[in-house]
Amino acid sequence: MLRKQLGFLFDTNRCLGCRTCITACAEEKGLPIGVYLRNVELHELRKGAQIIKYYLSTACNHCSNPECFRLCPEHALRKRRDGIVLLNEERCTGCGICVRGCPFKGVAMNTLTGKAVKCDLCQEKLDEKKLPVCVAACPVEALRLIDISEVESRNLDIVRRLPGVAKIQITRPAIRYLPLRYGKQVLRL
Amino acid sequence: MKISCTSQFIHSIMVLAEGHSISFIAGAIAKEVGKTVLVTDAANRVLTIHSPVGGTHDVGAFFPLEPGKNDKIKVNYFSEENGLSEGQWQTKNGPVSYVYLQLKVPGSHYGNLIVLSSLRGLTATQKMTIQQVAITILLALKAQLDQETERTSFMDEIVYDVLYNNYDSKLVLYEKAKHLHWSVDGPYGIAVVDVPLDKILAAKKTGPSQFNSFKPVYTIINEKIVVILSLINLPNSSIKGAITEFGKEYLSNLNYNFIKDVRMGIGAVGNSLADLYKGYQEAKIAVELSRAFDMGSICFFDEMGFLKFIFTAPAEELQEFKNRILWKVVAYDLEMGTDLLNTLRTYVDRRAQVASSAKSLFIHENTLRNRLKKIEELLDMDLNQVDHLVNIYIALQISNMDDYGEN
Repeated sequence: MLRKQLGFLFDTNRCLGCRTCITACAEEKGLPIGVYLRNVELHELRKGAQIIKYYLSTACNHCSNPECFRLCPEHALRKRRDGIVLLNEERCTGCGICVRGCPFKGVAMNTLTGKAVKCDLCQEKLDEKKLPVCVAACPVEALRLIDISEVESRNLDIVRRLPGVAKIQITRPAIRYLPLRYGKQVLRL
Repeated sequence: MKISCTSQFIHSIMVLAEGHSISFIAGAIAKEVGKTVLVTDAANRVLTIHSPVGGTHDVGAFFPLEPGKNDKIKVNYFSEENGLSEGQWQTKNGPVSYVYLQLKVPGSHYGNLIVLSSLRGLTATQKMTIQQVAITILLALKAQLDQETERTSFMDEIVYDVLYNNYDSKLVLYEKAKHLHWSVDGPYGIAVVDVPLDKILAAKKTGPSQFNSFKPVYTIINEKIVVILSLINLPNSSIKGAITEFGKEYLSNLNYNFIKDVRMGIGAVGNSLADLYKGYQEAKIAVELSRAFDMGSICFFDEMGFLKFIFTAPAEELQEFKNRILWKVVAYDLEMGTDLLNTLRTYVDRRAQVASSAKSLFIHENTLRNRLKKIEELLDMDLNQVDHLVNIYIALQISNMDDYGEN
């Protein structure tokens, strides 16, 4: 019944904040210095007197209702049957509407080409039955690739949102998280 | 176990093997029992009707089948006990009795075989014939459904590609359109229907079969029904009215089939197939907003007033706006364990009326005034000023939308 929708499963309890995912991605895509398709941020959650710090690694969420897709005036974006949102660089004019429109900061501007650039879940690798580089590079397996429809139907213990993540569900982002386990985070300050 | 088969059953199986249709088999039963025989699908839509004395129901209409006491019982088509349920249909000429048998196997319900007669009006042999021939009709329905499912999944993929720009060139789009017997030139209308997930397949089947002399295309994408309507030759001035009528008919069909809690969002008209994706995105937003703000069952994106403007703005800007307006109240609530945001929301929802808001919150008016004073202090705003109130109202609507998504 549910359509295949590939996305990330992120375990913040494991993430060390080492940023290997960012580096691997930038290296794979040959991005210029300072342009990244993935972002790792330290978040702080206050619960009464308790302060919990954890890392979040974010990229394009390949939403079901992608804002970038809706806003692009050039029809430069499309969504594959497996849910991956792709940007056609040939059509992109570099207007930046998608960069400003994405609530998850999933689209960046390539300073070399002057066009938008975004995560494509390493589609070529996926087609060869390999993992996206960020997932393959993560030393602690905090980042995994999942089929959201399959995970939802199995009713596993995962959540749609963590504190610190943009509180926007109208776009139906294809990312899931393992719940925060207080005191289990490893900080690498 | 000894099973006795009637000659009509063996004949019906032979007829099915020869490639005859459900209609032919139903006609044979009608002739045998001398009564009107109908076959419906699982959504009670009449697929065929055969009457030795003249029909009263149209093919494609819904038969008002009432759930009977035997419906939950496992159907044994070869049992000598009566497996038929009985019901009454109120027509303007008075009540009409009917008996029926659900064409089902464990886990799947394919349709119903209905005979316009009372149980008393049928002999034991006729009842046995109906029961046994029902299995032949069930097999035919299953084969038909399997074929349809295969075709539907192919169609779903093509429609998905069209709605998500998933094609490399206009030539590919043209090929896809050819499969669907669509014209690449529009205009096309698009609606997204949100129904409870467990009823989505039944709801898809209950849509009107005609719109503007064309067959609407129904598909399921992302757990919602997507309807594509051809608007060719329809004057611009009557497009909206025609789509509204279509929506009303669809909702009434769903209601008739006990499918409630339905929302329909309608996007902008696509002038060509390549433009349809935008209308689809708008229709999805219309349906989400209609649910979030309880805006009625049929919601046109074009008619969403200020909500349309604020929700077509980039989501990040909306979040920034909301946070800029409300963050101090939210932070205060978090730190002090208060619920000032809810107080403010109630006050705005109650048209800034202190008495009504206090009643709704079960607090004294003076308590509310104190809270509002605190809110004004935190926001650095005056709740009596229209421009301040408008900003707060919009920020609260964005916040409502977040909460809706969260739930």
